[in-house]
Amino acid sequence: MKLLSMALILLLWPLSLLFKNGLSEFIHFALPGGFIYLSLILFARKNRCWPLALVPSAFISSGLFLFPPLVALLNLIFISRTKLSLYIFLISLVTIFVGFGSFIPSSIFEDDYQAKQSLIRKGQLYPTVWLARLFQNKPTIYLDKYEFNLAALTDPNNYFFGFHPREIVTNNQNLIKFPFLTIIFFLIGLYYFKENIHWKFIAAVIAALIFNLSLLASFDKYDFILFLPLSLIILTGFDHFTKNMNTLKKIFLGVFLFFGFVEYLQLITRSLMGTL
Amino acid sequence: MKVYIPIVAIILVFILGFIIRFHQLGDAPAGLYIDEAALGYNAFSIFKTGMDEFGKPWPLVFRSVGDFKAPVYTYLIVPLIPFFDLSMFTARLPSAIFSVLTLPLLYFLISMLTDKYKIQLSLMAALLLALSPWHTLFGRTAYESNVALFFYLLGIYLFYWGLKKPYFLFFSAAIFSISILTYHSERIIVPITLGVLFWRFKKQLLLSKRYLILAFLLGVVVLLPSLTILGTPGFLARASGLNIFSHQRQVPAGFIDALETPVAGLINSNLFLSSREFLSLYFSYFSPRYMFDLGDYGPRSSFPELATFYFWQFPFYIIGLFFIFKESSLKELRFLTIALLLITPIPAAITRDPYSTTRALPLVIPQIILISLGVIKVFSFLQPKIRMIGFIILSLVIIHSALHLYSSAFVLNESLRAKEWNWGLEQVAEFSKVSQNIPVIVDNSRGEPYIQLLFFLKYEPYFYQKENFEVPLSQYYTNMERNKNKKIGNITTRTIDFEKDIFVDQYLISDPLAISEGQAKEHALTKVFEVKDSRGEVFFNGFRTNPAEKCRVYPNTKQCL
Repeated sequence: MKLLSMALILLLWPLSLLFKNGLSEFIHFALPGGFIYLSLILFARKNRCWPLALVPSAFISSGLFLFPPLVALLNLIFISRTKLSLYIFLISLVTIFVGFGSFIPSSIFEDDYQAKQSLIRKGQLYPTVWLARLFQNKPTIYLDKYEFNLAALTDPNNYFFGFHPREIVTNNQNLIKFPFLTIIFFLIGLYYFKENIHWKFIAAVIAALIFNLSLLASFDKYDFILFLPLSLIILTGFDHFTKNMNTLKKIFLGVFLFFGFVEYLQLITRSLMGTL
Repeated sequence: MKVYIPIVAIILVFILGFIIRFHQLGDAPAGLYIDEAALGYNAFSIFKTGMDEFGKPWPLVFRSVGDFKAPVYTYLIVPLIPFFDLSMFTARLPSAIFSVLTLPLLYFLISMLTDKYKIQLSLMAALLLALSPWHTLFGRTAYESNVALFFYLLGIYLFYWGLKKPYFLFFSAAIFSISILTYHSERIIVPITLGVLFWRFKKQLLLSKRYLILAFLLGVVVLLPSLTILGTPGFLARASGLNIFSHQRQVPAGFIDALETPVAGLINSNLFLSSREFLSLYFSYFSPRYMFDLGDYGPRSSFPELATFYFWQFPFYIIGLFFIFKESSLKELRFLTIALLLITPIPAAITRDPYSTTRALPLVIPQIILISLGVIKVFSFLQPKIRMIGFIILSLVIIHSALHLYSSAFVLNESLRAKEWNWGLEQVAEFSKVSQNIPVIVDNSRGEPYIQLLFFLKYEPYFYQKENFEVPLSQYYTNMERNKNKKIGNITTRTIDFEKDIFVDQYLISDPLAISEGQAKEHALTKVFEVKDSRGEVFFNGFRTNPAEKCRVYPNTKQCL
């Protein structure tokens, strides 16, 4: 029952991505996650060069060019304040030089004519120029886009309900990433977060990824890189939940399995119907 | 000296909240939404005749536009009418008053429940609530949910007083009952809250069994009139129409149409789909997207470019959430905040709309407490020298937030949301007043303008009750049929009938969709007035028919022969 539950938790997002986008796209977006897994193995073996294993991910997806140096920076400040960490951070900066050029057109900083026109129209509604300039200025265009992405990436509904059942978020495939009852394990995992032996790794990776992904014009599909760290939190919560199983917990697990099974049926059905 | 600082601070917060809620109270939003007009006019009707717009004496719920409004807000407006007459200011005044009173109430509630960070937390929460876009919007408009929130919070405050002095339980019970009569959401959250509070303090409460029983009976007595219509369609109108478990109007979210497989029943099972929809809606009230970025999608439930909270409050919310679970020294405040956090989204989560800030308004309280706690905790970690810099930065951020609120609520909202607030009907009413002898048809294909017309014309309720019929009064709470055609003196609100109306000498008033420029030309209509907003967008057109000209151009038309 435990193994089946874990399989249900871990397979939904990869399958959704695969069915929706095809194999080649799936590999393209899944591969950076492989380097996170490699990095986790190095971290678990207390290898201090673990942030360097993330560098290749920025070459596969240029949108992730900030991710390795950010992780290295967080490692330097919060995890391991050593000269080696400093050198690793400096080495990882190479991804910025490589990825920066192609970043701007696919980021929140791309030119947005409509947004600028909207600013001008709204600015004319204000009674004073200074008030108009305070709230209707060019930096607010980028800030609003960043805030939108940041809020969406930190929204649990994004991962467990495809945002909301009747909501279609534009620029996004609205994939369901985890069976919806997994949110319970996720919340438990958050509560016991620090008991996970890799909590520093997970926190650094998630923080860096969310910051980086929020800078993209569309983070959809790129956010699959969050699959591993989020799964670790969920599995921590699942592990806690399944300790000392009582009748109520068994019933919940039964319901979880049933609903999870139905979600997979829905996924397969929608995929076959072409309405995923 | 130090003793007076908190008192001066809370007075300043109160003044700030007062200014934010009372500034241009009757003028912004510029329009008067249908529900606001209904509350105001029914209060006017009660004041003048003792009956509502349909002639029902002292209703227990107000039928209104078929939504059966809870009664308290309407009855609160009644005594204001002799002083302020029927106006937008009067209709919104109870909301503003109770919104401002919620600020010191929150301060005193938090002060009572915790010793740790007592003054700082109370003041910060009151300040953030004063500036809250969520609380401000409903404090400036005629929404029952805002007044219900005050009574709900007061009921909780008096309950805690009742633990020390049992006779306060009577007041608590009465106030909780009034909150139930004020807004529909409280019908759900009050019983759950009372159940939770009773479970937590049952040993203490059972020591004052006599007071407890009498308080319960008093609460029931206050509710008794409403309990007599408990099972009627009128009482349950809102609940049955909007809840996600009722699939009369809409299939559950995620339903796959035209599915013919052996497992179709499983894939489209109500249990699975409804459970998922409920949980999704429930968790949407904790979604950073909605809280700090999008706000309520409803154009009247949010200000433009402003969510329910300011984005800078996001990290403090996370920090507050962390500490409310970890820090047991917050004692009773911790318990109440978590309880309110879990309970208050429930009524909203069982209705279809994701993130309905009207129905989940009580949630603003625990979330403001969490943000305040986050701010206080951050400051507590700062070194004294840096704390001063932090205080200056926070002050600047708060000033910026106040200006942002002004920008969204008083500048952008007036222009960008005027249509949603039904702006323009006051001008239509003014025109109709002038054209006394000539019939006026006001198109109602996209709304029910009759109630705003009644409101702005201050039409004599006695005549309106006589001229219009909806359902027999004996079926007031049970018969859900509606008559959308209304007669207000020389004005009739109904859809325009181009086969008949253009052959009668009268005025036709509508939005540009109902009568286009082409139709006006075809039917020989003469435009006599226009209602336009500051951006030049036309809201209403008024045309005079010209039957003679119509027949001259099209003499073979049946009506001309």
